[in-house]
Amino acid sequence: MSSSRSNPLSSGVGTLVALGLALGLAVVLLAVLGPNPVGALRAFFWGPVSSGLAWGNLLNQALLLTLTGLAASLAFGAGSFNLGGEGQTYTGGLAALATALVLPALLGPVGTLVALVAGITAGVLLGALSGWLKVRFNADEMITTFLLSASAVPLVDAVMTGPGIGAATSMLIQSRPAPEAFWLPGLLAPSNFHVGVLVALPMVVLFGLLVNHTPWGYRLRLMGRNRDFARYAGISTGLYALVPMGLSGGLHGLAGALGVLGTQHALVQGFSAGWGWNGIAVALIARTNPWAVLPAAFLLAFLDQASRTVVLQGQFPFQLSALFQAAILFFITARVLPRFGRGNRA
Amino acid sequence: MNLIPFDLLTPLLVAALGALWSERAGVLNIALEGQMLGGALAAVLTYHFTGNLALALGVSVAFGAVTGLVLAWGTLDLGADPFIAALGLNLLLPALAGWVSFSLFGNLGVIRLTSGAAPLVFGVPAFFLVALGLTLATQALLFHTPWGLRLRAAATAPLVASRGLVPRGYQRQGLALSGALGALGGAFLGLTLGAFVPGISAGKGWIALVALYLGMRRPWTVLAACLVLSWTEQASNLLQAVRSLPSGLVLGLPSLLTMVVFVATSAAQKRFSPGTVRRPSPGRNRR
Repeated sequence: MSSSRSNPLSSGVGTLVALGLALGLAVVLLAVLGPNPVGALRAFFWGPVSSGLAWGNLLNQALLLTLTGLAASLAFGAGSFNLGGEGQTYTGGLAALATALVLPALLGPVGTLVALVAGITAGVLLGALSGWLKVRFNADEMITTFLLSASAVPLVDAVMTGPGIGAATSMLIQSRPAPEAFWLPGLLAPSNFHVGVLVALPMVVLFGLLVNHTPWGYRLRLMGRNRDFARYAGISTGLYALVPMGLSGGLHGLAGALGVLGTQHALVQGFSAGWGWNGIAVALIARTNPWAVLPAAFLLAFLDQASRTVVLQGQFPFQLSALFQAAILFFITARVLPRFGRGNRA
Repeated sequence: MNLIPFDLLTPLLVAALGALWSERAGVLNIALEGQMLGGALAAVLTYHFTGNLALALGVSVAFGAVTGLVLAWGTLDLGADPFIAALGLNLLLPALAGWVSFSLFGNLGVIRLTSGAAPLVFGVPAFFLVALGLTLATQALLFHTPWGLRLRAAATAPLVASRGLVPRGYQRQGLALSGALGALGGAFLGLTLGAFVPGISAGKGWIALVALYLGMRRPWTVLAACLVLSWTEQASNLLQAVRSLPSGLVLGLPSLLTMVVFVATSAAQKRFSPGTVRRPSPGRNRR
């Protein structure tokens, strides 16, 4: 079935076409179904950049999506599917919070760092577990990451309200707050933006260089293109199945930890819902290239904030962002425009 | 404790048969999760407005077949990656369900039927008998008819199939059938529950894929796998009644146990059939 196709993520114009179709769908829906097309379109395109608060939320979401998008890209790039981003993010948040609750407040920024590392570690463990199960037992990582994540989310929910962590009085389902000494300084208050998410920028550079300009990255991409050939070329396919899954989990865990220490300051039920799936969408728009993850994340964050604004301003009855993402995913690898000479390649 | 937990088994079995039809045609259907949810909504809505059970099931099946054809259009005609296009459908269908629910009832929440809609035949749920019939039919059609042979050939030997046959046509039929069965599984879920709730499929579309591999891609063994998985789910439902256990552990248990069973089976398959490729990976590029 796939023998005559080139790598579905590596080729062409499809990205622009898919994005165009999704944006077109947005405009048509807003114009046709909204009670006030002009107001709706204005809210959609202007809302996410109309104030410091809006900018802060946009930047925060874009940089978090950059992290989860990088995470998904690393796994995809090595030919592994990590569908467990939701659970890895959530568990990373829990690990960071639990660490912050245990550490003495006078540690200050050192404590913040330790809590972030704890979040990363939790994600690495979850991701690497699926990688290991694949290498050791040939258990498909697509299934195990999903199932592990599906069992981790309710577990985190339970721990959140459990003894030692749960908040005594709160309207939301959430944990006790982390000590203020460990909070990451906010930016553009009262938005969700904070200094922590800026770490996404050096991460893009780091993984952009690693994946595109080192022998390690070359072998990783070779794994993604053709695992049989990679094995034939003497690459340790076990290692290159395990390490990207661990890194992928770690980046997810970092995103969760940042959300807790920077924005929520506590573990709030479902705070990271959707970050993992959206990261997959970002990775696909970026065609698993780390450099392209940043603009792709900004685009998705803009679409999401835009559809939030439209709903908040009463211009439209429900969230559109799932529809856009669906349209983008459906068309992103499709050949909507006819391309010639394709059959001769690969 | 039921020996056969009909309500858990039936939707899973029908969806797993759906997974089987597409996998055997060579395009694994990852969109089952969304199709189950959509099928549940279609059936519950139709039953809500008409009170006609056969019509509710029919609408649901037709809806599922259409989503299967949409997936086939994307993957076979537009050359989209089957895995990624299906993830798109999995996002789209719950969003559409929310939209429909909002347009009709002004909320994104629960649609409750006034009366349950799961008839019994000789004390056995009729839906379960339908599911058994479908298992039998799948076995007969897939392995004992020329059409079934050609459909399987479309997956296993594209070159052979292309001698005078059109693999793409058979794969399209496999995906349409798969979507129809996924939606029917969802319909059974919703009608037995007597309601549609957001997230009603709750991972069952994914578990159906697990059942497919546990059941080694053959109808009767898939039935056995579904039985094991629904015992697992029943056991964790029973544990939920035990007060001393933390609820998160209990809610997470079905997925966790399913994973253990899946890993064990993968390990056994690796051990007893070394060197065989277990399946064509969805979306992954082998060559």
